[in-house]
Amino acid sequence: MPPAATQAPAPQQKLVISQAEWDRRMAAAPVTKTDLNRLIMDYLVIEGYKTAAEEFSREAEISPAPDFESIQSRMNIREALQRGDVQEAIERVNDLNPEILDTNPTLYFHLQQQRLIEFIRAGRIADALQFAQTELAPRGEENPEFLSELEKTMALLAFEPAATSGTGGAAELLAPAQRSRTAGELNAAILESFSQGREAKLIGLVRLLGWGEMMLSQRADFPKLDLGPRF
Amino acid sequence: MPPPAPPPSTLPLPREQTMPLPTRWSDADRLPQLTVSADGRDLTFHGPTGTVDEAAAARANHPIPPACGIYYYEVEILNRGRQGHISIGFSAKNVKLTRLPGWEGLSWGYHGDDGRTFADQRTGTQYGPTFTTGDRVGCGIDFAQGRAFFTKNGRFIDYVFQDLEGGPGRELYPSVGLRSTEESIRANFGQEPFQFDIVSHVQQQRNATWARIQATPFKWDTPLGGTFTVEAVDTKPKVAEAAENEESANLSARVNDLILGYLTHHGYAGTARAFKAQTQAKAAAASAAAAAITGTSSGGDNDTDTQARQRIYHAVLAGDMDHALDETRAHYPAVLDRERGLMYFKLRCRKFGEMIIEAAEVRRRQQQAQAREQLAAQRRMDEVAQGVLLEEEEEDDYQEEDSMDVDDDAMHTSTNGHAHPHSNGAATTGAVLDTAMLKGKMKATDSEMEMQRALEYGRALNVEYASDMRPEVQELFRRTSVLWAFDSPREQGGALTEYASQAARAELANELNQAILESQGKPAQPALERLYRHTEACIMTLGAIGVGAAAFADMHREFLEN
Repeated sequence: MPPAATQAPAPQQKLVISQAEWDRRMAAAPVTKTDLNRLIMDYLVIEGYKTAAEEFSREAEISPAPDFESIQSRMNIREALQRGDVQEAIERVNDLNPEILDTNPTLYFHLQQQRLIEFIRAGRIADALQFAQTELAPRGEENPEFLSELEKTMALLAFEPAATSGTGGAAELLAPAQRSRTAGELNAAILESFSQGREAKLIGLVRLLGWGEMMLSQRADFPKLDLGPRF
Repeated sequence: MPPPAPPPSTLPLPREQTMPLPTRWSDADRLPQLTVSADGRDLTFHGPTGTVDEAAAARANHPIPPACGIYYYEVEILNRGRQGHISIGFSAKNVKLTRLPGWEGLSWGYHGDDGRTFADQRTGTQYGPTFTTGDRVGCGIDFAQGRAFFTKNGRFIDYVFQDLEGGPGRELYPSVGLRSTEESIRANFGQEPFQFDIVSHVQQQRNATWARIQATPFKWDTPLGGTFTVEAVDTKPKVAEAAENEESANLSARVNDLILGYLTHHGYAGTARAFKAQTQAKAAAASAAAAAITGTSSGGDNDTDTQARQRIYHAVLAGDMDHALDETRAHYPAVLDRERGLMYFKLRCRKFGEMIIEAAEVRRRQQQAQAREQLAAQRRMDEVAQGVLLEEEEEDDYQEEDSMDVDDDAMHTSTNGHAHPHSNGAATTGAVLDTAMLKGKMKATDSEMEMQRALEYGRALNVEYASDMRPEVQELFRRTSVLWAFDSPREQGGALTEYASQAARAELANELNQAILESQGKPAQPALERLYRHTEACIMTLGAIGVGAAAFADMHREFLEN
């Protein structure tokens, strides 16, 4: 199946859509302030902005109010990972719902990998080796994808503990972005276990915008979105 | 504002209207050797078995709208006739009807006698099983992929053909061709349940298309505003991981800006403050993403401004126009001067309206109180007449009156010496009744004063704007004045008293907020709203020009439903 993005543009004359016509089309979009408020709330909840969500629920009179407690527990887990305290994150997830990790072997492996990374970051080489041998190596043998991740992580031992500035596959694992990535993966899995969307709808909206503008600009000349110098 | 000039389109833009679907075989668009049943669904071949140039095809009455995403119809073979030379497919408007679909350019078909498919081909391509009397063959076009597919007896065969399009000027019609004596088919254009589970199929394709759309690599280039760039599609997989990280950090930073802008725009000051603090804290925790986020948080810059707009917004919402006017005058005097005082007029007109509503409310409350009072008095009279005294209840009545009565003094003087009216027997009855009437009269005066004040305010406003012939000014004044005609404009409902509704307040509150933002050189709609509307316009336009994938980008379903 060809990816949607590569579908050939129509071999025909391009439409020209004037600003006035485009404005008319934008004005016709069926969306209300209430709709947008709900999109905002969805984002605040999924991304874990608990205080903002509480304020917003009050100021914008959103009902029903979301479950603020679950935001808090997800945030505690995320913060633990951001601090590098993988063990605490794992314990908290299991308190919340042990099935989350049981049913997501890839996620569980990534958490264990993160633990290994934190050992190496802290310079606890002996612990790192011990942990890698008992926890990670057996899994790497089961799954080739895990093995290559494990190899990449073990390569970190070759770096000086302080030298995190290097670029390339291994050093990237030490970058804070790696913690965020693991935290994001875990957050998504928890959300899914609550049968909630994994990703905030607003993110999907922005992606759709990118696709829509690209597809349309192959076929028509139309005013591009300009959000102005400030928004 | 002058009406917008007609768009200088090089092609007429298709209107966004619901497009009719095929429902039957066309009575006109077929060869005479074919008969069509009364319900338009059966075709029968009556001529002699033809040569390759003596086939007979029919097209449906309407073309297939590509905006439907996936189109599907089924055909039941009633009779294979002498040779079973039956072709099921689709063709463009002017393709010759003397040939089976697939043999001519712009026609496509699946043939029953050999199971081959044809797309402007003489010999065709091996495709699926043959079909004959009793079989049900389905034909689908997937506009998201530009491909067709066929089913036999409820089973999916395969995708076939490519680059199918059905946009304006290239409409495709369901088409069937027959070639040997007594061949006969019956079409199902959705009148009955299909043999094939098209609903699940569409659902699967919808999800797959949506996933592909969401996976389209995308980067928000310019730090603030500007246009979007879509990265080259063939990002190399190894680099992709890092790019993906960067992309998502970049994306959330931009979305955070949008949200902050939105919150600020609508005056959600508390939320904006909390959100800003939380995003910064989060950014500090994940220092890599930090630069991207803190560097560009532009909204929420002026908390005082946001709070002032929030107060004004809520004042209008509560009908407290004096407060709204004072605050606006104090913080945003320029707004009142805009468009020759249009906003100032609207606000004062609203105040006039609120005064009428309030006066009507006071009057109504009094009438109710008066009615209650008279009823109670009547009852007391009856009780006295019967010699029954119910002290407790009476006390209650008095307490209730005291708490809501502003004319207590007047009442007490008039009832002087009748602290316990009933204990004095029948003689007091008249006094009680008098009191009730007197109180009613006092309150009537009160509501009349309210009315009088509203009237004077309205007159002054009218005098001031009498020479302002702008239609919106005159109309707004009329819409406000008509409220006089109602006993209780707020509860009346209907078009005439729309102006008394809470929705009208909210509308004005939004309008004023926008005017304030515009007076500061900011856009009237928050960036987030413009982004949403712009996206919707893109998707609608894509659907209208025949890009099938747009049909599966159902924004309402994806973003607004829960």
